[in-house]
Amino acid sequence: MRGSEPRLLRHLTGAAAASGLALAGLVMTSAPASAAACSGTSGVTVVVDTGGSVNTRCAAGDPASGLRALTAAGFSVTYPQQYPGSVVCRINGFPASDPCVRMPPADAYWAFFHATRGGGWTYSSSGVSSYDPRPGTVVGFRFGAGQQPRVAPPEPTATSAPAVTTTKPQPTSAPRTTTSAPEVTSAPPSISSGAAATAQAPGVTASVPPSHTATPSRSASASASPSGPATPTATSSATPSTSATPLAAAPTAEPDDGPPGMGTLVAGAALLALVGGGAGWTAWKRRA
Amino acid sequence: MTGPMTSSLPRAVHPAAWWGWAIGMAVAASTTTNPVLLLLALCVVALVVAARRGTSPWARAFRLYLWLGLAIVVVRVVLHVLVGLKFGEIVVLRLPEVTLPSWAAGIQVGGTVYLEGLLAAALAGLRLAVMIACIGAANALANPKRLLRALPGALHEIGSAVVVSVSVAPQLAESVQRVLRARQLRGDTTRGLRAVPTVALPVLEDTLERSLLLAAAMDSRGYGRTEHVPRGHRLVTGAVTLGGLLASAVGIYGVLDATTPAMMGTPTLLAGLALSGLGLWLGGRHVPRTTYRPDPWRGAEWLTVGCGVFAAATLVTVSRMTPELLVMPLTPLAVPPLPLAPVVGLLVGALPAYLTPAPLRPAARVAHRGARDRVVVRG
Repeated sequence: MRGSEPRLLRHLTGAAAASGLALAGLVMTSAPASAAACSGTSGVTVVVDTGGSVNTRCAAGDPASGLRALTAAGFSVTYPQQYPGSVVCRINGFPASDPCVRMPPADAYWAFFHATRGGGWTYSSSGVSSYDPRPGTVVGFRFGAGQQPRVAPPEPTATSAPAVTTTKPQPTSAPRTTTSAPEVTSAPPSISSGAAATAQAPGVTASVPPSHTATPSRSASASASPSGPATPTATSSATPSTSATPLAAAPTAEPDDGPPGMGTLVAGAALLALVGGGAGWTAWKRRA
Repeated sequence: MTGPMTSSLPRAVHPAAWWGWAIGMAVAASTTTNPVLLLLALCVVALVVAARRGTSPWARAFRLYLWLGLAIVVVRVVLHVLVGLKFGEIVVLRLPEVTLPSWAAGIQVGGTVYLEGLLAAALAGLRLAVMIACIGAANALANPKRLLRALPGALHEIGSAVVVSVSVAPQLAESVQRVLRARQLRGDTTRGLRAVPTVALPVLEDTLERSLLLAAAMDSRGYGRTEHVPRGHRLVTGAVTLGGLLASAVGIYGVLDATTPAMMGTPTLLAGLALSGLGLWLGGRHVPRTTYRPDPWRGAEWLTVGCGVFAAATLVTVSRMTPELLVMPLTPLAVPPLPLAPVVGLLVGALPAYLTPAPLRPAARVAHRGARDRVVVRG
């Protein structure tokens, strides 16, 4: 039931757009998807859809590539071991199930889209590191078998909006009580706790109709809608200010005993010197 | 018979064992981009080569493979700077970038070079260089002629042909040197192009004479004799071998392509390999052939192969369980980790340098003719 919901949702998107809030109120929870889109024609809006939650942020300035827009917007990127710098394997640590050694499989990878504001998604024909998004456009990442992000590219805005991670609760969990987001911050759009929220995402069934049908007023976009006792929003609000910089929020690929420092390097060099010296000494002894 | 027992008497370790060990080390190196582990694998391979290589011409080839590896790293880095996709945060070099048309997307000519991208390129090159050094180690340690003698009976004619052809180049070089020395002794010191006619004819004559001698020697040893094989048996052998090869090809395709049905993958490949083995066995049954002083396969051989397999198994397991330990952390850039299990696995790969019998030396071979009990080792 839960697994079929996104596909069902995609079929329903058109109907939802037609019937608007009526259907959204019955079946789905409305979503402020364009919460953190860039304002005006500056910056590149980045939409990341894990299949469970949608995260929209803004990369300021003119990033040189889709990848740089992704990192500039505060997402942490893990590359496959064999394709560093050219293929996205994990965004904010999702999916944790992929070992990130080889190319991700064709039915579980981050598909890369680009779009104009308010336009339609285009599956990018060039790589994430070679596509250069123009300022004022949108790049989208959707995890899955190459489907589109489930939110439409945010429409152009004139005003700045604060950053909100729009993670949705399950419709069945509790009656909807819309509260204001606990982490509403003023500009510049911050990247607070996006990693924590997205890491929780697989267990969350989200339903995100296009924002321009669900939330007609832009002022509503600053509020998330947490409900129920254990929603991801609660997690995200628990760590609001620990992630001051984008990279600090990134789950680093390092062993549990902390970042290896000079001791590790010295130990490695000593080991290499020992074995390499042994090889050299043996060769020299045989020649003599 | 393991370790100290067999290492007391110098003898050549079975070439197939060296190849098994080297492939294991290459598989281990292929799983990692951690520079410490890659360099450790290189040092281990170099140590074993230094300790256990023979005195044959190909035993000195290991240095060439090291130079080849260095060239690979340099070319990889230069290509990254010229046309590679640059990524990273730490700027190393600012170069102008050529704007290419959209159909050339994926190629970045010039552009700012970052430390992370440069390191990734160098480490990818280093990984390939270490794998090539492993193969070079197998070439330096294993006698190719002895390896061909271990071929299954059905392939012995191919083996003889390959042995004859790989012997041509060294023999030709030796022949040229012999003729040049003979001419110098007679006072003829012509060099360069003018010496070619006076050298070429004796070398050609020498080659022909050797070929005739080789042919006579092979004929007297029974090469080229065929036993009568019933027609039905020949057909069955051919069908089994061909079917096995076809199934192997389909199986490899199935293993590599994730979209094919599961039955086309590993099961087909295993069935194909089994059929091929059966075909070889059937074909070899009718080849009357014995091997003169076959290379023994004893404890030292098991140990050598086991060390290579252990190194490969350790690193493959670690790469499945905790792949981040084997990766150079590039984003963000950090000191590479030094995980215990892969280090131990690679160090086990160095054990053949000490636990296998020492290789034969020329002095030892001469001593064998007279007194077998007293082996004189030069040095």
